[in-house]
Amino acid sequence: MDVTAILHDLEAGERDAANRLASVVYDELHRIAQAAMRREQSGHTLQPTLLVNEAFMRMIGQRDVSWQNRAHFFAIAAQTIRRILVDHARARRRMKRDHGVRVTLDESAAEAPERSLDLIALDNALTKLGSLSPRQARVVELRFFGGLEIEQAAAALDISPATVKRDWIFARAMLLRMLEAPDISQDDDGIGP
Amino acid sequence: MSETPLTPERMALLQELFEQALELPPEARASFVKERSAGEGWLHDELLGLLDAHERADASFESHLVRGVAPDPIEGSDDWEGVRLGVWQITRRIGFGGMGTVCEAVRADDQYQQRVAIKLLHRHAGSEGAVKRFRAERQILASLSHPNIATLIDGGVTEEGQPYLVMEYVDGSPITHWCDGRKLATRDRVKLFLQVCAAVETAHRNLVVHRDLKPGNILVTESGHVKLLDFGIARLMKSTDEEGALPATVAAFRTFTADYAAPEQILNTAVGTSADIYALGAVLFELLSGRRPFDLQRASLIEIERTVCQTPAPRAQVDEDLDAVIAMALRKEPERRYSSVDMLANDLRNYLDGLPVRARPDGVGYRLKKLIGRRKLESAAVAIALLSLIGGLIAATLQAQRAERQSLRATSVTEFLTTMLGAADPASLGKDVTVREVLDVAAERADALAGTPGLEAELRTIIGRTYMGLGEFEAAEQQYLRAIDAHYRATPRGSNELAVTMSLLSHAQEFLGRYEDANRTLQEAAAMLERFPHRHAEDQADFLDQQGRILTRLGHHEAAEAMLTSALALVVKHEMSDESLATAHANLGYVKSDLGKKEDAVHHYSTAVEAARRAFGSEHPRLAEHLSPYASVLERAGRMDEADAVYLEVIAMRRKLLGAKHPDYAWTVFNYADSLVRRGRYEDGARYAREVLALRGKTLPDTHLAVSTAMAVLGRALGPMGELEEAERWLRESLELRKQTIPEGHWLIASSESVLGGHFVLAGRYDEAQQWLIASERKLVDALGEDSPVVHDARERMKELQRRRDAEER
Repeated sequence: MDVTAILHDLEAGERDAANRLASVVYDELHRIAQAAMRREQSGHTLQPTLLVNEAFMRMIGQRDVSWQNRAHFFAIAAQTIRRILVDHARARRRMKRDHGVRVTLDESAAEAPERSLDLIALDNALTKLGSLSPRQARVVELRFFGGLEIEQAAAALDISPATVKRDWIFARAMLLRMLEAPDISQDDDGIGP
Repeated sequence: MSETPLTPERMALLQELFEQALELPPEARASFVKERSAGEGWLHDELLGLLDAHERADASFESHLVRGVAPDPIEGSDDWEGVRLGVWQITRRIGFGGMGTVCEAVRADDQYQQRVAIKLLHRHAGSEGAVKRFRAERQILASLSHPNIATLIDGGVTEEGQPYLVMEYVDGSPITHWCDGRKLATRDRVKLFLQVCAAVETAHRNLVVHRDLKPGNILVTESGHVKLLDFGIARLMKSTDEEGALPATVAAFRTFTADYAAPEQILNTAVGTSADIYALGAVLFELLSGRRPFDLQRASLIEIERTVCQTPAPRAQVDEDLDAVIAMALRKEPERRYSSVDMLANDLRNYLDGLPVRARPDGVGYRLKKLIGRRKLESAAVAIALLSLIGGLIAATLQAQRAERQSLRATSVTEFLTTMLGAADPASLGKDVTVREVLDVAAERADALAGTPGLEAELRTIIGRTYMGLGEFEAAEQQYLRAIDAHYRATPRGSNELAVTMSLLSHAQEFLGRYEDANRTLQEAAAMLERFPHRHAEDQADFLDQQGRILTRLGHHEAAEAMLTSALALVVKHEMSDESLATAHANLGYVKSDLGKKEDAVHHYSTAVEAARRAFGSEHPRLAEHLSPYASVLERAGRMDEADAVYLEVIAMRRKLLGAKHPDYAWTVFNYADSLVRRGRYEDGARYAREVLALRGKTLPDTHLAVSTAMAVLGRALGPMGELEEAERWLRESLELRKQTIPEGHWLIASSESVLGGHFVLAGRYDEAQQWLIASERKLVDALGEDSPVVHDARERMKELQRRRDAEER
């Protein structure tokens, strides 16, 4: 069973196809992210959409896949990479808190600038948004973590591109408001996404 | 945010009003908000807040989308005017592009007022090592001297760590504009283009690849002199990157223009001189036809990737010969383009001289694509194995490419990839090519790499890993051995990579059931690691883990427990992934179980399974790896119903994911068979045990523990069913097999003896029974301690013997 076959099953409405896809995608993404995170330790950027694209190239590459199926792949990958990155950010935050200093094996990391977007805050805000408007949260997840274009996000969510666009614009403003509120980056330890 | 909590209803209202407000001109919005939110303070505040956020959201969000989650704050700063960098004083900003900000500057201490262009690169230089690499690269570029190449004069890193380059200031216009403005004829355009080729050829001979050739970088001065800008800058940008195996795709997108980028640049695989040849083809296409090969102006990343990598370039429709030349430069596969810029230039001269061109239309097969496109892979596991092989090869190629000066090395990888995949082309081998066949071909072709032992070692290690993934342990071992040999040839004093390959070899030997060998190999690896230690805690944990496993297999339980406890501690301390956590708990659970610490074992395995479910989802080969022993442990703890449920879950999962011939599937089935026999369900148990034994000599070697154990299980089932003779045969064969494959004195042999003793009890041959049981019990207690379940079973057999004798005496 290869990835394209799973995608076809997904299209055919097979109930567990999404699960199967998620598990193989997770595997691949996790490896890619791990490699990327090692680079990130030395102060370089970590781009969710890039990781997802890389997973796509590795897993599907040039095989013939309908663009709706591509959208499904990216939708699942978006969700997965969010989980991986936020887990990672949480782990690092805990590490800093527990040990006082950052534990790294790479000396160059000590001088690396710390100015990354607060992923945990974004995740919290996104979860909060999801409780108020699940669809909007999904749109942001797909666009932000999966790099999906408006049309692809529409295909993945089975809604019109116009709706995606409206949701995107509104959700973006809403998230920015939430991110600027003082308490959002507080993390509740132990609760995974 | 306001006090009134948001609800889904309030969100809907907010969105509606927000959208209505956006329809209005900005100055009318405040009064609209006031009017519509009359009396509702929260609504008023929220709406204004949202509208304000909206104004900033564009910059904030969309830029994160493009630049990633650690945006560089240096980008966008705009007050360069008057800034002094070294001896240079910036006079004005002249451009802002994907690669950086371009300023005009003059030499502040110079009476001649030399005018230069300074390029401030977007990327932050990062670590000291990165700055060093940047300087080294700059040195190479500075030595690149050609009348058609803008000279690199100076360069450095600003106090904030931003790299910059000082270059000859060129006053000219892009080659396309220049030609169009003068309404140049095709032949004259081709002649001018030959100047471009000459410059690129010189750079290539100096091992500098441009990577971003486009009309904007090919300027022509008023007097008709061509000047190429930004030579090697794309690479210079890369040199500030960490040496990770997989450079950033999106970041890479920012460092070249997709319209002229070769497929390998879009895919971010190996980029060499042939990428420049592609770009020259694209520029020539535009120069001669007035169009670009593809319209990518409004395409998304995915569309770009698809178009550039898959859609054949259209004909330029200029002239039959020129079309063929352009098409050859624009081929998707680097190795099928012109092999050098000289070849391209020669063909253009052929055209000018009225001679036939050498460019030929497409004809050779697209093998890689065919291979991937046509392959019908039996399972996700196999698909992943193949992908990881190809991914690994590409990563290796990339790495080779990074050392671009070793062009020999890079070329041999490309050739290797091509021939390997070529030979695996279904058309050339027959209908059904298996992954195994692809690998066999790859392994054979790797012989050709003997001249570059470092590369050979790397590739054989990848091939070995892939064999492991397929359960082909012997083939894997062979590849690892040859990789180690190559490692020694490459670096006789050893290396960390060598230690890694040794650990992998040990792993293969472990799977082959050759635990002594595995242990010896691992000790060699440990010695090597003393000198070349692992840099990442993950790798250290993996290694401890593997040592612990081998010690377990050899029966050194206490030592193994200590080793695995440290591995788990390391995983917990470094907050490693759920995957690592699962493995650490599972291994410790295994050894706890062997030590008879039942509840500890259940605890570790259930923690492992939870972590694995988090990491892999509900159906995954890796989840099954933890479920299978969890079932056994539950069973030993007497939790039969739970154990049954887990057994059935994992058997179904493995059959589906791995197929009925996979060794892992066999393990589970045999464990379940064992469980069934223990519980007196002999017929079911015998059936499952025979299923395992059917794989003997196929996917299970005789040395695999599952074989001898399945024999024992079958023997134990057949006895109570009345098939005493056949039972004894299997039990004796099991014992013999173990004596051959397991070190002398190992408790597994004693366990076999005890089981045989149990059989004689059943058969009523009490003297023989007593002999086997007494001897084996002592060995088992010595090896495993009083609490071991194995010892418990052995004692039960002795009690049974006693009971039967007592009954007979009565």
